[in-house]
Amino acid sequence: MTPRLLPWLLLAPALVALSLVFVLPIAWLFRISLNISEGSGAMVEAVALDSYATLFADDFTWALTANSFRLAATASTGAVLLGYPIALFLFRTRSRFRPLLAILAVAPLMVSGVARVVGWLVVLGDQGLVNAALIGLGLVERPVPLINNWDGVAIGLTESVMPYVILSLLAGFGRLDRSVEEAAATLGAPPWRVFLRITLPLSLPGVVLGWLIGFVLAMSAFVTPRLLGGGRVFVLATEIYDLALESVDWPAAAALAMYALALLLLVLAAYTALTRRIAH
Amino acid sequence: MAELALAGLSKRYGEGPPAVDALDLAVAEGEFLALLGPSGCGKTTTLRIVAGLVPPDAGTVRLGGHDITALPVHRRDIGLVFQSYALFPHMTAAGNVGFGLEMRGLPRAERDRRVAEALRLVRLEELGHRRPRELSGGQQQRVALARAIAIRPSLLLLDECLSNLDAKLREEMRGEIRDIQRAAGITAVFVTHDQTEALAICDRVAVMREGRIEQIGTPEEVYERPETPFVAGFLGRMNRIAAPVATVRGRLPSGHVAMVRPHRVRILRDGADPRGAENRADGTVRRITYIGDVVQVEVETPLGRLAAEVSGAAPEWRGLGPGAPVGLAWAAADTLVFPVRA
Amino acid sequence: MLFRALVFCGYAFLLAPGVFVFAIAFSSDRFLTFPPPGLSLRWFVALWQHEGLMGAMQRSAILASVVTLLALAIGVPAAYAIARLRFPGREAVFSALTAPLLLPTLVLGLGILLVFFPFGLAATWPGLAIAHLAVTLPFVVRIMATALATLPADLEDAAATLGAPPLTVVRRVTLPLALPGLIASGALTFLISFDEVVISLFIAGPRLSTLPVAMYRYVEGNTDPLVAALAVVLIVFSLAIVLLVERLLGFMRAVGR
Repeated sequence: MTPRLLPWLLLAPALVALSLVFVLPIAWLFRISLNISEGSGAMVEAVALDSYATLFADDFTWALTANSFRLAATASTGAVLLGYPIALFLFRTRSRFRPLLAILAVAPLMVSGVARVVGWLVVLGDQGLVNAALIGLGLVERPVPLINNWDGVAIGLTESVMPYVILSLLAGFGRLDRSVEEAAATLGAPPWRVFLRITLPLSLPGVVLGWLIGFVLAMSAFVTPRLLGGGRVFVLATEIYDLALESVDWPAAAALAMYALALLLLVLAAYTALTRRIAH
Repeated sequence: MAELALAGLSKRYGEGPPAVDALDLAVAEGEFLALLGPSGCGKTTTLRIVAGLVPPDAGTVRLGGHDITALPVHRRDIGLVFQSYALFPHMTAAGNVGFGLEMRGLPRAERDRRVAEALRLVRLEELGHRRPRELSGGQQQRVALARAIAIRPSLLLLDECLSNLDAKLREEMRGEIRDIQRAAGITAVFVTHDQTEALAICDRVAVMREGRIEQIGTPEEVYERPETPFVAGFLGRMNRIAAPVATVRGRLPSGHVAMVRPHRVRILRDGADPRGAENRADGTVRRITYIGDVVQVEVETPLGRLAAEVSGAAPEWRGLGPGAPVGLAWAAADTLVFPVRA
Repeated sequence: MLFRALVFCGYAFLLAPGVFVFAIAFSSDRFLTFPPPGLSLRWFVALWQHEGLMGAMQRSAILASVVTLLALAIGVPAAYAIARLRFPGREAVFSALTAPLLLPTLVLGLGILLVFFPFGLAATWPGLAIAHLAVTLPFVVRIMATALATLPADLEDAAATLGAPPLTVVRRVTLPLALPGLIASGALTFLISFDEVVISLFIAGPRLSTLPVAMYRYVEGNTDPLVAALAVVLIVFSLAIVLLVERLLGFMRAVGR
């Protein structure tokens, strides 16, 4: 056993496993997307662009794309707006509760997605917390529909990507230095101007990265749109699932998956380029 | 009338001992005062209280006769040069210097004029368009200084602002800071743990210890006539003579300690004449340290281990080695005697 | 003050579903009604007696254990090579091994199904276990590479100069020092596999069912406090693991990049 071979010997099982569950599946997805579908599970081996042609000719594809983008943008923006104060607070505080508060902000990403959806059903349902409060206060007569529609999905997605966004924001706060903010104050800047002129510009790279991460994750999400959407919310993810497991049209599902993947890779490329620029 | 007056200033963080303990201090108009002390003595906390970045637990801060204790930072009109410089990384040097003027709502033209003036003062007029990271450490230091004085503050605070520079640049900068402060006639407080810096550029030095001022006076006063063993030991090297020793004025009273600076101790060889040196101690050389212009000779004597410093060019230390018998002598006038504090 | 209020709003929103699901789980009502008309443990009893969900929970626990052992056995040597050995292409290998974390599990799940189907691996337990490696293995490699890279290299060298052969160095010095990281990443891996739903939906087929899949199907059909009780159980379990990881490795360090 030469020292030159040792690393590869240690890496071999992982590389084999990864090609089995990552490289091969993505390649195969592409391959199948070139087959011709015969409907209801049957397909013909081919190297054809039929499924892509069908896909791009269908207005529904563009509607799904728009839906996915809009939903992801809404959720990610919401997550940044709600997460920014938390991240800034965690970055600054010297409280001894900081570790606990940091865990509370990030731990939800370790909780099962289905369990969190159940939580939102409890909060947003017709007899849920929000509607009970609204009716109790006499603000509305009848429950406001907050689930099985776009609003519910947007709310659930916002929450589900928030921990990731907070992590990204925290990582992006590197250039933020307390003494720089103090310097601005000694030069005569009141707190709100310190925030607008110093804190916000310096944390902007983190905000952009956090937003992109949130966007990618919200766009990839399946469980939240499906369960909180109650079958009435259609995005790329739900459609891929339906094509593959309900219609059993594999070439079509594969083609749509490749399309979605391409969109995500574009966003990820922007993310990587941006990370590089910030690192400099 | 004192420009800056601190009275009964106290601050305690958490459960520990107070960082600043009932501190009183007055700085005259146009004066350059050093707050000197080891780390943890409360000098930076004092500075931050004056700047308004830390609220005191008790006491008052008065500036130009007004009580500013409760005034928020951004309304104090005090320039602060941070140890880390704290330059705004997303603005140019000129943007940094102009920030305070912008906050004061100065019109554009006036602002540009004063930015240029401040940059000229620190000799950076050519580099106003650069970002902080494109500047060297010394240049960043100057931008920070220019930024603090551009607002024409009634008080300038400097927090260990030379400690991030290398030795040569530090020497150069401290002369420049002194000149700029004089030229602008600003009252200034300089926080440092470096005694050379404090002695070299300030009108008066306040030596701090455990949140209190141990002694305050001109550089010469605190160096030549320290009032406590702490001040004597903190400013420059010092021999501490614990054993009872014959000094000029009879014997060392019990409960007192005598000190003498190494460069005041002479080395006597081969029965040289100890004239003018009333104190003597004979012993054996333990160690000789050659530092270039100065040679330090450590001698084990009945009075403890004493150090003498002689010029590297002096003949006295030539041929001495560990184990060699040697005599030390120093003048009574150079012997400092302090009561030992409980 | 405004800042504090905004921080509070953020936390309230983020934690609302997790907090209020507790209230409903202890409800005596048959629906997800707020406020609950009374308190009871009936839904936890019902959950305990629900054969479908309890069976799925047992299967998920076994599956997650197998996946964890597999992922550690394959991932730790790889992480060791990346963190402690110098070889050409090290960075590229690390990026490749952690790349699946960036892809949507939906696309991975579909791709894996398409590969497994012709080999008869779809809708089988071995197939499910291997499929779960797609999300767990990159995770193990990332955490363990970080944990191993932060061990001082001098310690291994010191052991070697004292006469320990390479394998002994790993056994007596490297592994004991890496143990907290190992346990932490094992616990997180277990949790990820135990909670994995999308890949499982593709591979499990109609007959096999893990707990998240069973729960997903349950919620698709009906929502009652029973599923809230199940959510509470899962949340408590997740928090227990998060706290364990915090003690061993520092949770923020483990999940941060």
